Amino acid sequence: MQSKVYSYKKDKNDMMSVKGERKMENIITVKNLTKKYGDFIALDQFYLDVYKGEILGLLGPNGSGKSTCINTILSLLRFEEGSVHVFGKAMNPYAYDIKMHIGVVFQDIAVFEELTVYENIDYFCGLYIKDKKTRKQYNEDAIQLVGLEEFKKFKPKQLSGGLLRRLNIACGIAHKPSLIFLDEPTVAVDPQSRHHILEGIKTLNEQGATIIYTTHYMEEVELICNRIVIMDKGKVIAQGTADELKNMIDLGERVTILVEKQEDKLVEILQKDSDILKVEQIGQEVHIAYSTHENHLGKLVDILKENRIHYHSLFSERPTLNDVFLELTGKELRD
Amino acid sequence: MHIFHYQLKLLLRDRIVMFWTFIFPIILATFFNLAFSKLNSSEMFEPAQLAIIEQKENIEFKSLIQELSKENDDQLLDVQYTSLSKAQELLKEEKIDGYLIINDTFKIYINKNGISQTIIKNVVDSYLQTRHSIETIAKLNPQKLKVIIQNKINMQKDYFQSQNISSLDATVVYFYTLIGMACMYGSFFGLKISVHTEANLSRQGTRIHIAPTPKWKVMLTGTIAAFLCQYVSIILLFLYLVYGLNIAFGNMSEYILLLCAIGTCVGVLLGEFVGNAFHFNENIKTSILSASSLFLSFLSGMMVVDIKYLVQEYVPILGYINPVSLITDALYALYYYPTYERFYFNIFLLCIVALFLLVISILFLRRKQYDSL
Repeated sequence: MQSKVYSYKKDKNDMMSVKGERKMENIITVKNLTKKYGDFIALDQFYLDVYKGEILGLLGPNGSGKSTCINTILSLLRFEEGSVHVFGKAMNPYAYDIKMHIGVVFQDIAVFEELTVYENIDYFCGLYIKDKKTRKQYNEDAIQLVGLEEFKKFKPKQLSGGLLRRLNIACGIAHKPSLIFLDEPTVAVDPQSRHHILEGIKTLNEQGATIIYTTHYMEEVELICNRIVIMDKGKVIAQGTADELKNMIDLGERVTILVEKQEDKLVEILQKDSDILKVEQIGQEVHIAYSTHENHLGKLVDILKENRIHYHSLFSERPTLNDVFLELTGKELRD
Repeated sequence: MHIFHYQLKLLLRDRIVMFWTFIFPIILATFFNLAFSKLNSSEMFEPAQLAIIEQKENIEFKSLIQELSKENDDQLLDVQYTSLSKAQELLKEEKIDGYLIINDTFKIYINKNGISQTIIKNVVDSYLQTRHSIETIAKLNPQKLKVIIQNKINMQKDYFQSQNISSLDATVVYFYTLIGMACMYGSFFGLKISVHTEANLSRQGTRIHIAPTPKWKVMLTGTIAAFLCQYVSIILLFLYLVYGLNIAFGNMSEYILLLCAIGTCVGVLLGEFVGNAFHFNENIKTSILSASSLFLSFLSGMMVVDIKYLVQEYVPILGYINPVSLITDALYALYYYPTYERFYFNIFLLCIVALFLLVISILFLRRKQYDSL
């Protein structure tokens, strides 16, 4: 893979936020970051800009360097080369003024088995908020946000996987940080908890928090992120909004027709269409990949009628982020 | 205070650590006590029942027998002077352990082997040997007789004194070592604190690391909490030993508490050292601490008292760096030695060990970033 980066954001000033504002404030600036584990390069000249108020999705397959990226930005890990600035200041382990405004939700559950739900939240919140009264209010807010009101006195081992994930989130955000890192917070959770978590993230963002959300679930990224950075092998390979990323690739639309029998004639006709990248019949399904982004269903129905080809159904799909990743790297996002 | 409050809660709610630090030493002390009380009772013996048939008078031997038959804790013989026929009858009925016919020679009659019979035989043999020695010396060099007799008396005095002390050693050294071992069990609390604080040891530690609270503050409050938990457990053990099992520690509680406080510090710091210095998972580290506490206790004589003396003889340096041995010796010195010199020397050595572990812990604590997590 060449170090070619696909991006719509050639100039920071051209960046459009969801609210249509220009010249957004940079919260995180990472430049030329290189992190090695022995001979293995985990981050390779990595760069990242995160703007105030956005939900940035850091998308990549397992082992692409997402967690390393977060740990390095947080000054947990040493790095060989590059620079990290958070809130305009150089990040370092002693930057307590910066840390005060950061919240992190780790991929692994980071709570104490010996403490109750409330005590866990209170303990971690107390590392940031010294005033007891304020802390109490913050704890309650966090519990409400993740929907654990009924489980305050429960010990973690009494909670289901989904509830445990919610507690993990509450412990990371109870101190009301303005910058939140969420590292795969929905791994192995039930749909109800997943919905709760995603809604909670949106709420935090609406309350003013800038969010960096890492995941390998492309549906979640599309659902909540304003902007997406796709990573592979420690490098940024593309970034932009979901639509921008989809527009980057050759694939514009994928149409599937369910037919009754082998339709060689239809395949032959379609292969002559210059807009079509690929057409093939697998069993009773004819798969058509269009290079242009317009809707081709009407045109297809006409062709089917003209040639008196019987079909059961046909449906159209827009390219997914997986298609983007597949086209850019030659492999599936969930490999 | 907030962090300290929760560190304390975390330690007190850890059931496994609580068992090893609070319950296990008390159980072990109870077992020791049961074992030693049985041992002591089996060692208690009745004076040997001896009948003497005095066919020829022997004033020296009679006075020796009189001395050994005095009714006190050290009484060896219960003697009756009788006729030969009566003695034979008594032996037959097993009312005596043996009889002795005193004439120009000494003849012992016993009908079976046992401790009492051995005592009778040893008393007679010792008398005859000593008499023979003195007679020989008197013939060859009568001037030295007084000196030799005096030396013999002194040797016996020393022998009995040393026997007396070593019989005390056998019991109390085990309990002293137990206190030393219990202090080392503070390492379990120390390990917990380092695991909770270091980012590369737990995710909870990672949370501490990314928070605006300095790591040293969390570690310090955790160390104080660990010290308090362990010190309370030691005090409970001490009270149980003194009031529950009646183990003699003398009237020097304040010195013992000082010693235990420093011992507890060493234990907690040892746990933090193992927690910070090695890259194994927590279970392996707990096993390392368990094994090392037992091994240090073994070297201090917890399982076999003789090991302690062997270490002192062949590898004395081990005795000076082994915290359990230092605690055991300090308690021993406190009880048996007339001065506090040895006690304070051991306290000094324990402080050196604690300082060493503290410096290493601080060096690891200064680490702010990691190569990997």
